[in-house]
Amino acid sequence: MKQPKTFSKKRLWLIIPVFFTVMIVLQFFGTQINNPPVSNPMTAPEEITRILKKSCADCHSNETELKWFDKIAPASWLVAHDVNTARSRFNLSTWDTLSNAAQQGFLWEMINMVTQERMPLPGYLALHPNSRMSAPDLETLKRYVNTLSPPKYNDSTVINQGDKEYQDFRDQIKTPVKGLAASNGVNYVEDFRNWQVISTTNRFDNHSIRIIYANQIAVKAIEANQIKNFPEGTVLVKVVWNSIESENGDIKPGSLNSVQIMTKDDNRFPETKGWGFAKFNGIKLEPYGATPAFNTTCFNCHKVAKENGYVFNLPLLNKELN
Amino acid sequence: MKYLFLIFISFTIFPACKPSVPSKEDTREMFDAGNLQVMSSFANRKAQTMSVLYGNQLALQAALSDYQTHQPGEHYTLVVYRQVGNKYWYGSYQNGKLLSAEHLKTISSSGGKTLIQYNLEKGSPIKDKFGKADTEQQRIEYIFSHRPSAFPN
Repeated sequence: MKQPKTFSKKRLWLIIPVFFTVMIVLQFFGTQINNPPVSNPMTAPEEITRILKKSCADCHSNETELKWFDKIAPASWLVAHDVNTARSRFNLSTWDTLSNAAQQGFLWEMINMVTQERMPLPGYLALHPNSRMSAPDLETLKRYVNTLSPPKYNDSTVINQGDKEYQDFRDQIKTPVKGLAASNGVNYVEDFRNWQVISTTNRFDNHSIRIIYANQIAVKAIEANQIKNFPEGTVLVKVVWNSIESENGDIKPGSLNSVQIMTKDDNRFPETKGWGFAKFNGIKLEPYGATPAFNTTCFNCHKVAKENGYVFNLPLLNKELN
Repeated sequence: MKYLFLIFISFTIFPACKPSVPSKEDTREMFDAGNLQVMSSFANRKAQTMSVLYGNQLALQAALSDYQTHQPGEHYTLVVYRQVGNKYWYGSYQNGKLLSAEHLKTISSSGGKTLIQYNLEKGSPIKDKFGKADTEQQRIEYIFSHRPSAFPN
């Protein structure tokens, strides 16, 4: 007499065909990845384009090469999302439509994303191990980007504009700031000069020198080393001057570049981990960003400082000082 | 026995309610300049130093006169740090260890002149390549060589 099939075997005979049916149906849904024309490719030495093609171009260009497993839904949905997001961030196939300043900005960002192991995306890297950027390739990229932005000693433009702004400062000509705010609602801070200075920085990528101030809420968090998630109400103000560089190594403040603000409000800025950003350009403090979408652009760079609560320039821990 | 247990539990719960204080090595220190404001900041990449010059309102007034006119009550503080790379951004340097904190204060003398007092609060100013440290007068002249930065408001 035939034995009745066990309960688990009955289920298996049902699950397997259902699974395959669902998988077949899924293939008809989702976004396809197209490769538009390569209209304005990057103009750079061959070794640079080779490095970027190997490590970045699959997502950040119109020359995406899909492996067979990239084409199977639902994995293909994630791949399409990542490629479209990457292309919207920067696209190596339309690179030469960007201004020189924008190109340099993205190159420095690429270097830092790779250095912090945020790019290539870990999930992509697991399935495409050859895309890993080697240490020598990263050094090659660093040498290249430094050639694009060499120091300009005693830059007369920065010096002359700095002299003019200093005269106005001496004559107490001030920029009106009452009610000044960015398009995302982050207000200018009028009294930051009375706040605690938490750090000073200078940059050789964009030739600037800075002072960073923090309000009492931020200072308490820094003192307690509770910086992974800064408290609501944290405000940081960074004053940026274009730097005057001399061959003897001196870096001095020239014209005002901008005043930049980070403020913590989880309700207002949930998509950027609670951080609202603002940048007020030049001595006239012109708000940057025609629409609030610029907030995400600012946050994208700050992601590399996630371990620091998304703040680049905190005072170092005592154990890091030498 | 029940009360002993409750006392034991309270010794474990209440300390846990207190916010934890980081150890000395996990502390981040910031220089307290009191009520002085930033007048300028500067750096030297070859010496690998970064500096912040603070001053009170009288100090700022003197600085805006190219340090030609002094009056009693000026207070300047120059803080110098070691310059270090920013581990989160290749392309940027930030302040590391505090190397020195120096103060200048002006007082009136019995003869009606304004005198400048120098005080080294912390550390020591860096020496030149021959290992020679600046004199107090040289430090005063160095501090007075820095023009204030222009702030917008």
